[in-house]
Amino acid sequence: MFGSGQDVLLSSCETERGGRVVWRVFHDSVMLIAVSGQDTEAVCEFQLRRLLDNIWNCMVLILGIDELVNVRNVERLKRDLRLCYQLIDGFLEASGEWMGDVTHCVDCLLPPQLVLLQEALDAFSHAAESEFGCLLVHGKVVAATEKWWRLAPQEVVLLTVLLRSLGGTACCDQPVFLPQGSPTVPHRLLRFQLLPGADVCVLCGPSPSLQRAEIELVGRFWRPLMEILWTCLALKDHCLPGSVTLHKDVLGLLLINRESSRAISSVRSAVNPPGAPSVARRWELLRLFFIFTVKRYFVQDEVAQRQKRESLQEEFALGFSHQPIQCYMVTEECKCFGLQTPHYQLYLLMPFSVPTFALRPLAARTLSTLTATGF
Amino acid sequence: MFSEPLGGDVEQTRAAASYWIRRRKQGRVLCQNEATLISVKCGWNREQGGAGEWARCMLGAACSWPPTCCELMARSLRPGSLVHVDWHRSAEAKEFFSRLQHKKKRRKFGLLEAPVMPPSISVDTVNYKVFISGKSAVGKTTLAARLAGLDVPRMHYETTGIETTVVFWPVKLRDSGRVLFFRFQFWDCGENSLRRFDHLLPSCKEQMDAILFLFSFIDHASFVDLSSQIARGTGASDNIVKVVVGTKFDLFMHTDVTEEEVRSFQAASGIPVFRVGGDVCGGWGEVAPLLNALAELLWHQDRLAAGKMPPQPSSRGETGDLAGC
Ligand SMILES: Nc1nc2c(ncn2[C@@H]2O[C@H](COP(=O)(O)OP(=O)(O)OP(=O)(O)O)[C@@H](O)[C@H]2O)c(=O)[nH]1
Ligand SMILES: [Mg+2]
Repeated sequence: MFGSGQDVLLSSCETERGGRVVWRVFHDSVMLIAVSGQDTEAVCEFQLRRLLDNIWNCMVLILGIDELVNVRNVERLKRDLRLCYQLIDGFLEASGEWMGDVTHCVDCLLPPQLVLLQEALDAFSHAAESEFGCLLVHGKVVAATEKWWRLAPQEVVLLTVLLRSLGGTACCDQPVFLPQGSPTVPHRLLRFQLLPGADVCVLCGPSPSLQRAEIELVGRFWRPLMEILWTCLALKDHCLPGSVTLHKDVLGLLLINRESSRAISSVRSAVNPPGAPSVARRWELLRLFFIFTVKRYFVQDEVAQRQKRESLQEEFALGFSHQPIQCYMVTEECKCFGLQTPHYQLYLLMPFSVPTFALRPLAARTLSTLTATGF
Repeated sequence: MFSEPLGGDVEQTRAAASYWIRRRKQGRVLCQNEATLISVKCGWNREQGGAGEWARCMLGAACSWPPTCCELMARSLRPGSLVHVDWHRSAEAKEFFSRLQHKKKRRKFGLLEAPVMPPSISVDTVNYKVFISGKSAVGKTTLAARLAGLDVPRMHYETTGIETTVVFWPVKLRDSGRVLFFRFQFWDCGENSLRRFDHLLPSCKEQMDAILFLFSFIDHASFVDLSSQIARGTGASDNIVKVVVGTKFDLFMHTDVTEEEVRSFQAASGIPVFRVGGDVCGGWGEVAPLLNALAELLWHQDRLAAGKMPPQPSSRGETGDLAGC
């Protein structure tokens, strides 16, 4: 505050022992401050900034932008903000099988028989008077209507996190504001749990009522697809259909489609060479490797620009006159390889036993196998 | 099961049939295996085609009561007069309750699923919508989770919008010996959300069959507030089952509401009061009293509506016997 009084922009600071404080003011109204513990290797500025963005979006999603920007009664705002806590905690505790919080891409699952699911979803959404429909399995998008994909990727990520936080309930009717698409007018997000772990949701206006949609539509459109839904559910962790065969040494991967902002992450629990990290650890390693790589090498335009403006730390990356397109890392647990093309980014985890020179061809082959699916 | 076809009052039969058809259209009554249902010979149903056919089936469920029982119910409902309240402990119930479990935990059912019984046993399912009402942090979300055998939330996160939870509960009817699956859908809406968005309350109350009014044993104000809650929760057409649930009963050290107060409320309003609290250990015993009573009251209410019997106010205090969890 002292700084801005003097026309100086100060955006973050670090404590002597490596703790970090990052902040940002949104719409000249709300300032969010993120503080990380002392172990900065684990949480970097990049992550804290994404976190601030995400948390602001959570607040808009639940309360709408008017209430946040034109604050008339602070006490009331404080009380209303409690409605956001669950969603915000969802981001603070983010870990495990999804990465949308750091990638800002939509976590997807590639199903077998996508066409049938897509048809059912389109018909179901239409019957529910909505153009925005989405089918999720284990919290990952399996199919979505065209309009749903036209929402901003961050919004889709946010909605997915929201749906995940609703947990095991049967149906929900949740008022939401879309941070970019509709920050002042709420929509209704209806969600139906078809099978435990398989949910369908639609964004709609005043009708249909939750009850009517459940009774009249859910069974009619989805009962015929139960078998396929069960097959999708069985893809947990794997997230790829059985028809996609990967090299036996791939422990886990993250594939990002840079154009559509969609991502598939997959951990292959069936692949278990001696000494390989556990499934939970692989998810963690994928996340860490992604953050490390994006921070150092695959600096995204948006981030790079902000860093030029705001950060003095990532000199290494800024020092490059070109964009690196491949990188690898060898740790005690495993070997990692990152690869980017204009359309895709691929991050691979492989066992320590794979010779380092074999990483690159293996990654290239994996990428072509995956892109052949049309993702 | 039917030794005698429904004789006599065709008008009443017709009314009952159209009632069941309506509920069927609303999706309230599911019929798992219509073919195995007993048919009742009634002249009127031939003209009515498919719907009549179906109504005939459901009449089997609706009108299988000896008249004395109906008369008795019209006056007041004695707990345990329609259903076997301790049935979940019996050997016969095991077959049914085992379908609700998976690896010693409560099985979760998606909307497309229902408990699957072996083909030799045919069980009908009846659907009811139950709205959980009460102020913020009173324990609505916790109660829904408790009844569904899910982990109860440790922290209080305000519920945003409406969340519904499905609970299957098998019940053995006293007079016919038939077993039914009650499928309760509990509607839980965060109180602060309810205030922010006008459309939520009407949606919760749309076609509801029962309403649970919650108060907390450690918050006296929530108990005092009950009567205005009840006034707000139920409208003019009052054929809705009402039950009061006191939450956080495990924190009796801090209790703010005395037994005497609860007793006199019960006597004055004729609404049964239940007590819940503590950790969920997963046994059926902890949810049975409330679910059985709900099932019984709802069944009773449907019988009254189907039979076009004017519901009479139950004699005071008598329903209070249901209390005690
Ligand atoms: N000890 C104890 N705590 C309970 C009980 N029921 C609820 N709680 C606690 O009370 C708090 C609020 O419970 P919720 O069920 O989330 O409250 P709610 O009624 O859903 O509140 P809103 O969604 O805001 O309307 C939570 O921290 C629960 O753990 C109970 O029976 N015993
Ligand atoms: Mg709640």
